[in-house]
Amino acid sequence: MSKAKPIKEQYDVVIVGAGASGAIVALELAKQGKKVLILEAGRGTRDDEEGWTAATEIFQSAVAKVPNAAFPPTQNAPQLDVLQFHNIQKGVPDSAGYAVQHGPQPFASDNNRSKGGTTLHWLGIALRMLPNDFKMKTLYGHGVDWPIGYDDMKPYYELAERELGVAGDVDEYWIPVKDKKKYWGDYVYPMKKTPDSFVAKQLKKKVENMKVELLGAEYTIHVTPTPQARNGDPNPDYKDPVTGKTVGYEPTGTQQDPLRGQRCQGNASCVGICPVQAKYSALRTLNRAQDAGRKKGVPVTIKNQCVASKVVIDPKTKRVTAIEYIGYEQDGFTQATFSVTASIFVLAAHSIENAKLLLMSNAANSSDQVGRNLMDHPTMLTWGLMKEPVWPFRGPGQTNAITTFRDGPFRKDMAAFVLPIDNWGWVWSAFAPEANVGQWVAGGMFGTQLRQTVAHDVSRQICLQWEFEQTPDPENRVTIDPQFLDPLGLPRPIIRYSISDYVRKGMEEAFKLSQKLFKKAEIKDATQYLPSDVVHIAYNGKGYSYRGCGHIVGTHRMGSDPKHSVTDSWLRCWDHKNLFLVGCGALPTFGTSNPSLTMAALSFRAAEAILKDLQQHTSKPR
Amino acid sequence: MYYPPDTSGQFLALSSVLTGFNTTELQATGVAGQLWGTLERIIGVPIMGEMLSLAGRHFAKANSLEELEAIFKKGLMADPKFQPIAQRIIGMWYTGVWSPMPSAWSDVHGGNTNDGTFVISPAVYRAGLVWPAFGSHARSTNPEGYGAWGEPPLVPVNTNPPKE
Repeated sequence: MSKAKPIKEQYDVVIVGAGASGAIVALELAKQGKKVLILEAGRGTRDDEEGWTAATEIFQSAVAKVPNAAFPPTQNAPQLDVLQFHNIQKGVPDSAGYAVQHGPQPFASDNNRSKGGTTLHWLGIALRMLPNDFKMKTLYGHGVDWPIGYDDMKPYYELAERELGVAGDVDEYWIPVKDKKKYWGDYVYPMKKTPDSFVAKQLKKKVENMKVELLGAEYTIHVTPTPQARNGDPNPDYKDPVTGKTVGYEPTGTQQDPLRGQRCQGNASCVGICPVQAKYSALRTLNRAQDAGRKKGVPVTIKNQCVASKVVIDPKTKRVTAIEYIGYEQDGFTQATFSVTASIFVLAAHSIENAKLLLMSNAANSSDQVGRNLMDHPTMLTWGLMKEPVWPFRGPGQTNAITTFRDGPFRKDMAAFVLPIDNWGWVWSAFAPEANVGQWVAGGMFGTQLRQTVAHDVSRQICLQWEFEQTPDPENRVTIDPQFLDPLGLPRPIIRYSISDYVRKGMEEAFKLSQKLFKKAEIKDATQYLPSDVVHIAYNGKGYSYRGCGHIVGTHRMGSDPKHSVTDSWLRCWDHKNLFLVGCGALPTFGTSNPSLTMAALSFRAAEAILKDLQQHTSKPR
Repeated sequence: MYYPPDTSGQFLALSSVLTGFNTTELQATGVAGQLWGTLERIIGVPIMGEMLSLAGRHFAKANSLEELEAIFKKGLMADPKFQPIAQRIIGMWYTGVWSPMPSAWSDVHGGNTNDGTFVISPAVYRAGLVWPAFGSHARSTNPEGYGAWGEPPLVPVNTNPPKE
C-alpha cells in the first residue's frame, strides 16, 4: 500500500467526491482563497454542452429509462443501479450487481459515481425537514434526536435554497407545523413555485379538505405545491440570505449559455436527465467553485477518474495525513496509486462510498456506527385511472404532494409519510406508457383501436407515491468483505437491509387511506402487488410492494455523543479532528423530506467549521 | 434479389393500418427509413416483400378503413408468419424499441444475430407515436414550454373509449 506516489502539490483541503456536498464545501472554501483538490472516482465528461447532449442521447437510446440510464459508470467506478436489484431468496446473497445484497430486503436505491454525482439524475425535490423531525426519540420514541434543531438549520437551509435554486411558495405550502410564521420567518423562495400539474389540480378539486381518520385521530387532506430545485420565474422579493437585502434572483442557465435552461421546459425526464439543465445539478456548484477560485487566484482542481482507496492516519496524533487514490486513464486501465496531503480532508462520496472508504481505512469507527443506520424512503405506489383525462407525462415528475401526514401523533405507532402526486402516469408503477403498449399489442390490438386505447387510458393515468420515513436500525448496514472486490481490487459494498414493522404498519394504514382517497376522487384502482416484485413484504397477512426512493442516508451519522455517532454536528469526525464527513450519510434521521436539501444545508455548515479549523491550523505550527 | 428501400409507399401504407396513424403523420416523423432498415436487417427483404404483397391484397379487398382493419384482423394479423413482425413494427413506431422475434418464429423462418432488445436510435425514440397518441411528447424531447403542463395539451386529443 505504501507504493503510493506522493503528489508534491500541497492543498489546504482535499475533497473526495465531486457531487453536491463536496461541491458546496469546495465553493465556500474557494471563495476564501483556499487551495482545494477534488478527487472524483468516475468520469467528468458531461460538463459541457456536447457532453450533456451526448448523455441525453444515451438516455434516449436506453431501453430501460432508469435513473442511471444517461450516466453509465466506468468499469473502475461501478455504481448501484436499479436494474441490478432482485427479490432476494432467503440465505442466498445477490451478488449480481455492484453491491452484494444479503437482504432480507434488497436495498433498492441507486447512486451515481461521476462528476456531478447523484444530482445528475435526482428529481430535484427540495424539502426542509420539520422541527419535530429533529426530535424523533423525545417526541415519538423512535430513532434518535439530532444534536441540533430546526432553528440551527434554518440559516443553512436558506443558503442551500439559494445555491440549488429552489422554486416554491411559502404561503401556499401546507405543512403540519404549529407556528408557520416561526418556521419561515419573512422568507420567500428564490423562484416562484413550479406551476401545478394538471393532474394535481384535478385531484385537488376532488380531495382538498377531505377528512380522514388515522389511528383514532382525524386529519384534513391538503394538496400543496412542492418546493423544488427547478428553474422557474424568479421572485423579485427574494432576499439575500446573508445580508437580508432584497436582491431578486437570476436562474442559472447551462455552462455555455446562461440564457438556456432558465426555465423548466417540461421535458418530463427529470429523473434520467434534464436536457436543458433547468434542474439543479452539482455541475453548477462545481463551476461556481472554479470561478471563485480563479477570481482569488487559487484555482480549484478537479481530478476525474481518481478513486480514493485509503484514508491514511497517523497512529499517534490520530490525524489524517493523506488520501491515497488510484488514477486511471480509461475504463479498464489502471494508471497508478498516488498519495496527496492537505491540512483538512473531506469525504463527500455519498453514503455508501463514504462508509466503504472509512471501513477500508479502519477510520473514524470507534463508535462502531460507520456503515450502520442505512436508510431510504421505502415508497409504496398506488395507481389507477381518473374519470376524465389528466394529461400526464408533461412537465416535471411531481409538482404537488399531500403533506398532511408528514407529522402527527400517529408517529408513535407508524411511519410518517409524504404523498407526492406523480405527474408521469404509471411510469414508476408499471413502466408506462411503453409497457402498456406492449401488453395491448401482445393482446392483438392494432390500428384505430390501439391508438384510441392509448388516448383513453394513458391520458387518465394517476399514481400516488407513499414515501415512508425509515428510522435508523444499526443492523441495516454497509460492510466490506475481501472476497468481493471491484476491478481495481477495492471492496464492493456488502448490504444488509430490512423494513421494520414501524414502516410496515405505515403501509397497512396508507393502503387503507389510498382506497378512501381513490373512492372520493373516483379513481379506478389498478394497484397490484405481486410476490415477484423486486421488493415485496408482508404485514398482518397482506402483501405490499415498494420501491427504493434513491434517498441513501445515514451511514456516518452525526450526534452529540462520540459513543453513538461518527461525527459532531459540524460533521467533524470524533476520532480524527481534521477529517469531515459530508453528504446524506450524516443525517441521523430524515423525516419525510427528500434528503438533498438537508445534505446541502449541512455542507454549508461543515464548510464554516472547516474554514474556522483551517484558520486555527495555519496559526499554529504544524 | 434486390428490393428498393421502401420508405414511402407500401411500408407506410402497412404501418398506417398497424398504428392507426395516417401516412402523412408517419412520413412527418422522418424515421420510416430507419424502421424499414431494421426490418431489412433482421427479417430480411424476401419475407418483408411477401408481407407487403399480402398487405397489398388486403388493401385491394377493402372499401373503408373499418373494412380494412377487419380484413387485417382475420388475415395478416392472424398469420403466424406475419403477426409477430407486425407487432414489432407497431412497437418500433410507438416506442422506438425492437423486441426480439419469438423463438417459435425463428425456429421456422431463421434467426438473426441482429435480433434482440434495443432502441432503434435516439431519433426513433423521439418520434415514438405512443406519446402524441395521448397528447404528450417523448420524454426528454419536444417540450411544450414552462408551465404548459398545468393545462390540457394545445393539440386536441380524442380520449373517448375505443370501439371494440
